Amino acid sequence: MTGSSLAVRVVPCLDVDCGRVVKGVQFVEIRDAGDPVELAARYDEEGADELVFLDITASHERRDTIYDVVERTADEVFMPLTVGGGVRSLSDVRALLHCGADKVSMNTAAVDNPRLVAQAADRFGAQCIVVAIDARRNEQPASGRAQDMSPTAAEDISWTVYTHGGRTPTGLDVLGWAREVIRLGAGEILLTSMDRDGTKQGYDLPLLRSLRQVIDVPIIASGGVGDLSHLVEGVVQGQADAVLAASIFHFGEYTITEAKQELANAGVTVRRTKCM
Amino acid sequence: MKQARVVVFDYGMGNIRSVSRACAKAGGDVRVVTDPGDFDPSLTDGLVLPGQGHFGACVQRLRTVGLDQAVLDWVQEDRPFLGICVGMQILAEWSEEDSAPGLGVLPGRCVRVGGPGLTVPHMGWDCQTWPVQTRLFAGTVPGTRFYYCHSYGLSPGLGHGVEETVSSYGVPFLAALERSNLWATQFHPEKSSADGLVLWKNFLASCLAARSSPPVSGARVSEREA
Repeated sequence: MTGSSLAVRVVPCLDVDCGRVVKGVQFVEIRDAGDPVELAARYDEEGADELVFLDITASHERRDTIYDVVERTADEVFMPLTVGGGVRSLSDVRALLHCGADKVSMNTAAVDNPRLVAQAADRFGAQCIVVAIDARRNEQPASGRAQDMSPTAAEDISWTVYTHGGRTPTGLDVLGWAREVIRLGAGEILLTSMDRDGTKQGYDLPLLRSLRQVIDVPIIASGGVGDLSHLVEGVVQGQADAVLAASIFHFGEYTITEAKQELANAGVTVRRTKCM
Repeated sequence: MKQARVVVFDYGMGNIRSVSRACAKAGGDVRVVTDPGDFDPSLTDGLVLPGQGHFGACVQRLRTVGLDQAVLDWVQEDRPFLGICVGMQILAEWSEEDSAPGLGVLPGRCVRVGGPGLTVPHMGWDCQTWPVQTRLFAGTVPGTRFYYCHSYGLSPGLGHGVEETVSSYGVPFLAALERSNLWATQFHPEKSSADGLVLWKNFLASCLAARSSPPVSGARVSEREA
């Protein structure tokens, strides 16, 4: 975004299962990458601008583990914390905010019950309600199939909203759905490309650009980061307000500091911390 | 070492846990108060008023739970006070966001931030003009970024006696202000990592300073512990 000194946010995402951090590759293969609180503290020291916890705990009996993780993290680490995954009701939103989350992200529940977005934004404020959208490209008509994901591809592409961790197509158009949830009060969109997630080929830039053209709330780009140049692309070409990545940070391929440096070298405004 | 006794008002509209924990991390002895009956000014050195959500809802909830008068009395006596985010905004007379009037502790109004090419809410780490001499920012360096998450902000130009730290996002707004012991920030010091904790320490220092040289108006002074 131009015309302001606001820094682009670099956002590590931690997938949390039963209180432990894992990262899915295309949501199938899962590897364990450590304790959420320790990771959060490390990211804070490195200068991460925000953290996202995505709770992927499947079993109902273990659902409360995320509250403990959020509480312990918020007690130790004084940075913005967004929590999503399995949020089904207003009381879920309230409980997470109460534990110390700053923003709560909804995906499936928003599709099932759009009124929940409105109720949550009305009660807690738009600034803490994020709608996560998992987007998958639709097959292109005869003029050309969806093979070409390059930034120069024609932008008459469309995307469908998926729910339930990317398994269930909803029939909703991504751009229309985003407009709708913002009308209802969502303060931010976390946009994940299901086509790119886990591939390390970079964000779906046409998807980001298309969404940017139709909404004016912040967008967090997600899905596909394999190296630091992808973060730069997400901001410069995708016009994202925040860039999210998981595995490249968790497994030590790159530090947050290196990510900030790469962005700064490309002329992107970032927050520099003392260690830089 | 003396510990500043800080009360955080919980009227259902703020990130109480984060605020309390950050204040405690900086060395404060923190109590959360939800009922005016549980608030004893004579055992309190500093008062914190967080706030998130809608301006009107925050003012209304504060009044409903009956903590508004405690805020007004506290500020009237010029005791150490920190308002955060909407807890800063509702000190003003009114906001474009709602028709409900604010507490009117400060003159002026809150306006919507943003402009062409800017996403709203104003969300993330931003800079502010460097304050010349304010106790709040002591120990931080020019260019330090703090975490913002808001759509409205108090307009600058509150007049005599108010030390203003201005930021800009489409329109200018107050990032922070000081009027003697009344301090407030639009950004979230409790979410601004190590730099935020510096501000909390500054607030605690002002609480202790006020304890050792209390305002003359307070008859309660004699009841306070030495």
